[in-house]
Amino acid sequence: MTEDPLRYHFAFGEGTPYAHAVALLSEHAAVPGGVVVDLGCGFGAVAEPVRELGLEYLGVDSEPAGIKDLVGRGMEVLVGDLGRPEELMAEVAGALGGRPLAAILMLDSLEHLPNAYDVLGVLHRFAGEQGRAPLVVSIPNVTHVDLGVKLLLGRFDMTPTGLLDRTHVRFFSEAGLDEAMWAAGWFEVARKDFEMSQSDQHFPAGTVALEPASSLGQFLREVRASASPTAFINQFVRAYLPGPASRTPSATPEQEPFLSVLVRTQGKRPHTFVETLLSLAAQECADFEVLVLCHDVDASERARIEETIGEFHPAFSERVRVVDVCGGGRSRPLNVGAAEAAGRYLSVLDDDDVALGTWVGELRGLAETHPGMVVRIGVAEQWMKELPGAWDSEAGYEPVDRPRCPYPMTFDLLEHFQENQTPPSGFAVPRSLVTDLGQGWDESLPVYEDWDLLLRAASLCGVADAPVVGALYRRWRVGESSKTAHADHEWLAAKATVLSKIDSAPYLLGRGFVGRLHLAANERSDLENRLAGTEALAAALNTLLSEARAQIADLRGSTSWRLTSPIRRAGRFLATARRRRHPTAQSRQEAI
Amino acid sequence: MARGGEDTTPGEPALLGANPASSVDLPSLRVQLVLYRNSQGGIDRCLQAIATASALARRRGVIGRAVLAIGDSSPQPSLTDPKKLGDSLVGGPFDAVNYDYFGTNLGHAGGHNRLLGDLAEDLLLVLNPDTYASPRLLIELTASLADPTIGIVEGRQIPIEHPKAHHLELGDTGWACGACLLARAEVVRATGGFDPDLFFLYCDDVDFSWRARLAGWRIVHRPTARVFHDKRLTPDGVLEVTDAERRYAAEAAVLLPWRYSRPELAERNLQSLEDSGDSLLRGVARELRDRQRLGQLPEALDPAGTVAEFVGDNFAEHRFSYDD
Repeated sequence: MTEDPLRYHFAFGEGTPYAHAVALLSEHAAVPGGVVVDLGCGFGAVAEPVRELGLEYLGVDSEPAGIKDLVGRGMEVLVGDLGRPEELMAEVAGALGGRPLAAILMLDSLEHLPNAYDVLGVLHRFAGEQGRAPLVVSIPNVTHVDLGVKLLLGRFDMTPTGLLDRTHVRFFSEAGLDEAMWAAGWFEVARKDFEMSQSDQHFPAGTVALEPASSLGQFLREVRASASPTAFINQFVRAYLPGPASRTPSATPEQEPFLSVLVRTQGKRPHTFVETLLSLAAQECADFEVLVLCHDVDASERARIEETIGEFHPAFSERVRVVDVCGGGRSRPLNVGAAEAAGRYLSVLDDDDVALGTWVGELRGLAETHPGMVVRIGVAEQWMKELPGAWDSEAGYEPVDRPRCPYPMTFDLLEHFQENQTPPSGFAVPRSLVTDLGQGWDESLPVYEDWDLLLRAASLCGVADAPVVGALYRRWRVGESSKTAHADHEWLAAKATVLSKIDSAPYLLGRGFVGRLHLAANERSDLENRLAGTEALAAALNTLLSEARAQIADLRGSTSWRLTSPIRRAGRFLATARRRRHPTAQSRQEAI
Repeated sequence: MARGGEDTTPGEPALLGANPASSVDLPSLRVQLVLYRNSQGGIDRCLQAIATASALARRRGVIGRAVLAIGDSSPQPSLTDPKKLGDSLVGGPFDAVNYDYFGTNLGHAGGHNRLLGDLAEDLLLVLNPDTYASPRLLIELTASLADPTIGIVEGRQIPIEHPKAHHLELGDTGWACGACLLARAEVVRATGGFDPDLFFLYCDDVDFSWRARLAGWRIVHRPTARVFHDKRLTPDGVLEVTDAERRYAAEAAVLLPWRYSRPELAERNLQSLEDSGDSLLRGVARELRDRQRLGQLPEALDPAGTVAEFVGDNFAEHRFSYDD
């Protein structure tokens, strides 16, 4: 198919990716007054703005139409083909003729090159030889939400220009771009990405999954936007400087354990902390790592924590990492820990919780049979009390009751909307929920951060559970715990926030939920019917009572009632005297 | 005693390794475990933990010579490579490791008493193989024995704490749980250790403790001496109990009052077992009646009731109950 060369004749203007590129040039051009080499310049939309920056412009392209246009506008040009980058850059060097290189521009051209990696390498050497000039690129984002949604619908619409230009041979995600640049030795120094909430791929109009007004469209956009900040980026517009070539850091370690256990500590409970560690060291299943998240812990407490961990057998202590966390509330350490974690799943065991020996094994068993789902097991609750004057003075606390299981063994989402029924140690979420879907613990919540995450995770992952007790959640009669460290109004406000957040966007409900909802609606209907019956009965009784009172009032107003008053007083006196002699008579009287 | 062999012939204890150079100024320690059908993973974890605790206590100068004695009541030897195990444990944690495959199930009391036969150390740690010792377990336990009136000290079990009460200021408690207790050798010598003729599996520790108290020793609970004991809870939060636990607990409910001069209580408990709807408990009752008919009742101790406590179905005051 012959393409019309004029299709790339775009104008420069505010609010275009060209303006973003020129803004980067103005900040990062290497030499004032130097030459900007615009590779794959097309019609040179940025030529005049570059000159307005006090820089010289050299357009390079193999397409005659654009070159002719640029010449007509009085611009310096070079006809050359990036298919032979070494030769081309030698020609560019000749064209520079000793003038300093200010920057290299590649605007929407890299994706057209089969040899994009080679070109970046050649440019890297060229820039190094020419005074370490920056490279400014504009590259279409193939992970724009519109493309993702259309792929979901089985659509891949190539177009003459735009995100899916028919002549594109390379497709860049942000990670792909980073990898290509790092491999060639280009290091990002600035970005002014060009965003479009609706790209040129936002068609056909009215497509349910694409339209932000539809529930599905909104849901898909929410998922994509949470996953990474590139959902609405149309073009990556970025500036790079040449440096040493490097490989992309490995995204996942080679040996990832099943579980990363996040242990929050402020260093205030060293005696329960050692019990938490002990219960982890004793796990039947060792397929886990522990991240001890020291939240605003001072140096001496941190040293004590390190010492405590170091005293354990290396088979355990070598699986424990200490991570410092500064600032923020209860959620901050968990998000920091999740970012550091290597496990396929994440769970929380606070520094006063203890696990039973099967905790990790039970969670892993569920995850193996239900991959990708939240896994949930039972947690027993045990009330503890502090004993400041205990004889060995250190471990001043003890249980006041046996462990009990007030939390249902089976997960019920509807009941969880009402109140959290799963302590943090009772569930583990796939780490992918955090790394791929951008979910995490809400740092704006002072409490209920675990409930909030569980409700979101339950929607996106579903919940697999097993009726086994895996951990003890300790509640404290005296001393610090979240239940006492925060005022009631904070709990109420946080609860309202959690529910409001959940309700602010479409919420995916798993299989079986409609049946559950139907059952709940029927139960409510039954209760309403019973209540209505009770109210009718109460109304009838009230009517009878009113009538009786009216009759009594009539009677008291009558002449005979007033005349018999002395007799009634005497009768009451005699009855009192009888009750004093015979208490049982009193009981009978009261019963009557 | 055989030296350095891998022989696991019943009744022929094997010394798996020894370190001749060891401090003689500090109290020496013997750690005893009796295995019965324990998993290899569980045994490994238990040994790793107690070895770590022993090595730390030795580094801190709390104990000197340390010996690990493992008895095995399992139908087949539990240790696949005892020699390798001995080599790995001799040095930092222990000076010597002994493995004694009994070839028969001696129970808790019998197994420990068999291992006690050659007790030459100052202190004895009785430890269950389904435990995981905290690194400072031995440091904490031995600290209690600085008081010469204390003969036995027990550890704090987590995550499921024993409900037995202790004096909050002094630590005194009615008896020490055999899952993890440290006793002076004098106490063992004075009492003869556990009584395997009367107790097989449970309440041998209650009896041992009460006889130690009759001999004048105090028994304390040390909350900072933590040990993980691998207990399970049902979905109702109730302790999971095996048939063996039910059987021997029921037996002890009669045997202990017999021994400690409370025949009326023993009779009442025995009748309860006979009236039970549970065939296992009725079987226990029949065996006890036979023993009674044959005059095989234990010698009655503590007629004045100075140490023996019978509080409801328990042998001490409890802080809370697992039964409700």
